Amino acid sequence: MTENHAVSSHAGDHGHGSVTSYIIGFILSVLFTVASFAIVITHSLSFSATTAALGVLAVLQIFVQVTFFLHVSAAPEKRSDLISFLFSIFVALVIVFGTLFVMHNVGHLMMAR
Amino acid sequence: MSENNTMTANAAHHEHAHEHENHSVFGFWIYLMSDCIIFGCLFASYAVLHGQFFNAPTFKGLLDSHDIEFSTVAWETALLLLSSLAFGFAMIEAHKSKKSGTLIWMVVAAVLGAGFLALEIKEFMHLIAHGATPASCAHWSAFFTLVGTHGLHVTLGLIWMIVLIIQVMIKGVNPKMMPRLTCLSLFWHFLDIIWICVFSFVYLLSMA
Repeated sequence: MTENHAVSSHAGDHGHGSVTSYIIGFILSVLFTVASFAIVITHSLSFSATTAALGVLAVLQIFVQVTFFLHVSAAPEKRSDLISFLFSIFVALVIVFGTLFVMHNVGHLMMAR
Repeated sequence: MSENNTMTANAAHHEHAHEHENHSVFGFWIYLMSDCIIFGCLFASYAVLHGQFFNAPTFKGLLDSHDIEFSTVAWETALLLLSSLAFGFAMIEAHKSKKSGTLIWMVVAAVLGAGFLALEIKEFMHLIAHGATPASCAHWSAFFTLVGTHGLHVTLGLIWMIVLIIQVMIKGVNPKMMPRLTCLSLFWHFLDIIWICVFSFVYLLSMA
């Protein structure tokens, strides 16, 4: 009984979501996912516009998942989670765009020869 | 008086357990962030190598001849998203210390996750049967490394989930179980985030 109490005493909604927040996150995820698929299936946009739209929708989906499922927020006790997350995203983006930039330039220089 | 003493002792113990839980969960979070960077590297190599088909079958070619079905990736996405939601519900039940509710939602999450894995393995076999193997060209090499690493993570997550289902079955949901369940929930939701990038930039962009 004491054990049970120990677990539930700080449960509430604080820090780990409720049924409502999970459902909201799920519905938003489904909406953005369906939008991504719809753009590709209908071929309604040009290739570069499709790429941009998929990028924006992916960022939105990641934001929804991180907020509603991983419960990362700007709250003081979650601050270190948020900072480490933003730093990792930054490093990952540097790797991806840095690689593309360098390899693009390498391609151009090789062509010139 | 003695009642009071036990209460403070319990509270102190609980405080300590909570502190411990926070530390191990944060440590696991740091591991996930390093995993995030690994996937960043794999996405970078895919971005550079995609489209380099040499003589191997192309993505569009396989799609046009219906060797790849558009619906497969949609089903995979749906299964993984629902599995993530189911594990979220399992965590809510776990925070209420409800053993049966936790178990039911964990089993649902595991079954949906296994469904995702089955579809992915089926698709890999299909691709390999049509000559799109990891050894055939740069594109498929990068593709199988990236998507395969995600699939491997899902496999390990499933094994971990089965272990925790058995532990919850035997020991119930106690304060010692909470950090383990919390770490797995972070891992499972994180895989969903990686899958968003995979289906957007690997599948949908090749189909656009």
